[in-house]
Amino acid sequence: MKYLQYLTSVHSIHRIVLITICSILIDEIFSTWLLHFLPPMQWLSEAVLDALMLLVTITPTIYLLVLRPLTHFVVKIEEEKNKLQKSELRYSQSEQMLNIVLDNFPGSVFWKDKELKYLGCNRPFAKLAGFDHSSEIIGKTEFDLRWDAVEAEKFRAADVEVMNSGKEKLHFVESMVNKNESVLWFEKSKIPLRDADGTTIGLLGVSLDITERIKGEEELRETNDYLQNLFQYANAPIITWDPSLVITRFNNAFVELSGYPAGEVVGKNIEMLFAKDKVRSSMALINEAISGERWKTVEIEIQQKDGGARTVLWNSANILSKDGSTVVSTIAQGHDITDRKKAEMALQESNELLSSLMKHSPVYIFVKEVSPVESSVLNVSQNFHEVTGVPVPKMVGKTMRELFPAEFAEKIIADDWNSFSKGTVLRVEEELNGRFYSTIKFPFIQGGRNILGGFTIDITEERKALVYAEETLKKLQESENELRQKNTELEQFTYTVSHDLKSPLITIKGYSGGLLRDLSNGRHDRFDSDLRRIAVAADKMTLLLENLLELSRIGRIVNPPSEISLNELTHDVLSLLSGPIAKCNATIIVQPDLPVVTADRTRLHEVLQNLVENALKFTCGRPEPRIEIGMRRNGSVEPIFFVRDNGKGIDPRYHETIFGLFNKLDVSSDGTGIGLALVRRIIDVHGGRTWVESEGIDHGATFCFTLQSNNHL
Amino acid sequence: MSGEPLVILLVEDNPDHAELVKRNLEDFKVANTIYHVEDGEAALIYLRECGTYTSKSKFIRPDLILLDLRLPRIDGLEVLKQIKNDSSLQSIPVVILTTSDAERDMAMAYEYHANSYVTKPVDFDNLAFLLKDLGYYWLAWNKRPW
Repeated sequence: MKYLQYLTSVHSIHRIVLITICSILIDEIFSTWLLHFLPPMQWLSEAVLDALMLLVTITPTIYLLVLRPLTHFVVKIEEEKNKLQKSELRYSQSEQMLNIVLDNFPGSVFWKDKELKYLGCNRPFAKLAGFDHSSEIIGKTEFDLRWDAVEAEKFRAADVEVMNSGKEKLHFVESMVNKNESVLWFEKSKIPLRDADGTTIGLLGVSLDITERIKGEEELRETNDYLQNLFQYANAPIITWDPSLVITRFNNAFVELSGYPAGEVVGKNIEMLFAKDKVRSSMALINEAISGERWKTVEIEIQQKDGGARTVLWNSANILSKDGSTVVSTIAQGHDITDRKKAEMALQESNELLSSLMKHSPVYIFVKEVSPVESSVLNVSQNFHEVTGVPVPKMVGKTMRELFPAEFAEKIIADDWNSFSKGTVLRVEEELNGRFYSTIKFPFIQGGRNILGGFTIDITEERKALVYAEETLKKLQESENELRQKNTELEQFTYTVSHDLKSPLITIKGYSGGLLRDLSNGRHDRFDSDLRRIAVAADKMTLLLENLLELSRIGRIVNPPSEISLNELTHDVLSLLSGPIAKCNATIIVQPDLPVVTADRTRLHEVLQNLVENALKFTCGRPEPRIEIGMRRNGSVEPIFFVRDNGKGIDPRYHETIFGLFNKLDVSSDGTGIGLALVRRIIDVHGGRTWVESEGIDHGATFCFTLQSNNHL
Repeated sequence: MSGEPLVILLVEDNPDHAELVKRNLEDFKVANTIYHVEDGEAALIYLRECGTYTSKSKFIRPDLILLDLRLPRIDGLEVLKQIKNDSSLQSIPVVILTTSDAERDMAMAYEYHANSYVTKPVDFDNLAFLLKDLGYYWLAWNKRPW
C-alpha cells in the first residue's frame, strides 16, 4: 500500500512503471510466502527436490518438525491467498485509478516498445494523435498518427535518439501543427524505460502543451520590441540613466538633438550633456526632480556635440524596484522647444519694440476696429491723450462717439469705413479744438477683425506757417500786381511824355525853323500865325506838364479819408460848375438819398467835377441836355455811382481807350485828355472800378464808378 | 509815277504838325496831293473806301502813307497792322512819323512791317530829296532799330 500511495503521488506516472512496481511488489509477497511455505513441486528444481527428498527421507524428525509448521503455513497460505486476492482487487482498482489519473493529467503521455510502436497513451495524447480512445493507439507507429510524415519523422528521430543513447531527453520544446493548422507548442520529455535489469524496453514520452506560454512569451517579446522601437524611434528625445547618473539608454531623437551618437553617450555620466557652466544648475534641477516621484516639467539646456545649445522641456519618471523602495532607473523625455523659445523671444522682442514705439512715438498712432456704424479704439500711442484729453488706458475700447464731439466722431466713423470698405489708404486733414491734424488711415484684417490703422500728426504749426505763407504770397502777388501795374503806368507815362510832351516842342522847333527861313526869304505873311502856333504850343506844354504833375501826385499823396455825404459833395461840384451848366442850359438831376462814403474828399470832388464837366462837354449844344447823378446797386453789394448824360455817346470800341492818359476821341475837343485818366487813377487809389456804358453815338453815356466796399457803409 | 502828282495820305492829329508837313512839301515843289486825316479810324475808313472804289471814289489811293503813331481813337500801330494785314493795302509804303524814338515804338513798327520810321521833327530837306526818288527812299532814310 505504501508503494501504491507512493506511486500515485509520483510526479510522472507511467502505467508500465506502476505495473513493474506492482510486479516487484508481487514478487516480494511471493518471496515472503516462500519464506513460510514449501514451494510447490513444479516450482522447484530437480536439485532442490532431491535435496528436499533427502531431507524428508533422512530426517523425519526434522520433517515432523517442518511439517507442522508447514501445515501452519498452509493455513497461512490460505490466508495470504485471500490477502492476495484482496490485493489483486485493489490492484485492479488502482489500475483504474491510474487510468483516471493519466487521463486527467494535464499533458500527453504515451509509451512505446523498443520498436517504437505505441503501447499506450493517455486520453489527451490520443486526442492529439487523432484517436477517440487510448486503446486505438496500441501497435501504431509514429507514421500512423495524425501528423504528416515530416513531423512524424521529427518525432521519431527524437525517440531514436533517446533509445540509442539510453539517456532521457527532458524539457525540450517542439512545435506541432494542430488539426486547425494552428501551431501548438509542447515541452517534451522522453525517457527510456528500463526493466529491473536495466535493459531498455521502451520509451516513455510526456508532453505539456505550452502554446499559451509560448504565445505569451511571443507577445511579451513583441511588446518588448514595440517598446524598444517606440523608445528608439520616438520623436521625443528619451534618455534613461541609473541611480549613479550613468546614461543607460539614448534614443535616436536624442542623438539628433545632441549630435552625439548613442555609443558616445551610453555609459557616461549625464553631466556630459550640459554646458560646463550649466552643469550645476542642470544637475540641481535634475536632482531636485529625482527626489520627487515625478519631475515637474523643467527647462534644461542641452549642449550639443558641436557646442550648440538646445532648450528642452523635460519631464521624467523614476523606475522603482519591485518592492517600490529604490530607484533603479530614471527615464526622461524631452521636448525641444528651442525654436518655440526663439519664436517666443522674437515675439516678445517684437512686442516690446511695438510697445516702445507706441510709447515714444511723436506721431500719434492708433489701431481701431471698424464697422459701418462705429469705430472703437484697440490701441493708441502714449501721446494720444494730447489729442483727446483722455488718458490712454481709458481710451482703449472706447468708441469715437465716446471720445470725440458728435459731428467730429461721425466724420471719423464715415472716413474709417470709407477707407476700410474700399481697401484704400485715406489721407485726411481734420480740425479739433482749434488744432489741425493730418491723418493717414489704412485698412487691414487681423484675426477676422476689421482693423484700421493710422498715423496722425499735428500740423497746426505747419498750417499756421502755410496760412502765413499763403497770405504773404497773396500780399506779394498783390504787390507784384501793383508793381506791374505801376510799371505799366510808368511805361504809359513815359510813352505819353515822350509823345505828347515832345509834340509842342516839335511844333515850336518846326515853326521857328520856318520863321527863320521865311525871314531869310523875306516872306512875312505867316509870321503872326506861326508865332501864335509857337505860343499855343508852349502853353499846351505847360498845361500838359501841370496835368502830369497832378496825375503823379494822386498816386503818391493820399489825403486821410473822411466821411463824405455824396449829396453835399455833388452840391459843391454843381455850384462850382453852375456857370457852364447855365450856359448849356443843362438839366441836372441828383438822386436825393446818396449815401455817406468814406474817401479822400478832395479827390472824390475831382472825380465828380471831371465827370460832370465831361458830360457837359458832350451834351452842350445838343437838344435838352440832361445830366443825372445817382447810385444803383444792380444786385451787387457795392453801390455803383454814375453820371449819366444824354449827349454824344461813345462808340463801344473806344470805351476803354477814353480812360487812357491824354487820349481824346476828337482832336477838336477841348482839353488835354487827362480828365478820365485822372478819374480812373483816383478811383483806383480808392480800390474801386471805373467804366463807361454807352450804346454808341447819340445814345448818351453813363460813367460809372465804385468805391471800396468799406468806404460807404 | 513821275509826272503825276504824288498822292500822300497824311495821318496826323496835330494840326500844326500837319501844316509843317504840307508846307515843306509845297516849299520843295513836290508835286503832290495830300489827304489829311486826324485819327486812326478816319485813316482806315479812307483806305478802305479807296480800296473799294479806286476809280470812282473821291478817295484816291495814296502812293505813300505818312502815319503818326500817337493818334486818337485808333493808334498808329493798329492802323499800320490793319494796312499790312489787308492784301489790297499792304503794298502802299508806310512811313511812320513820330515824336518819339522810343525803342518800343520802333520795334513794333518794324514788326508790323512799316517801311520806314522817321522821328519828328522831320528833316524836310531830306524828306523832299527822298520823295523825289521814292523808290530808294527807305534805303537812305531808314532808321532801323538795329
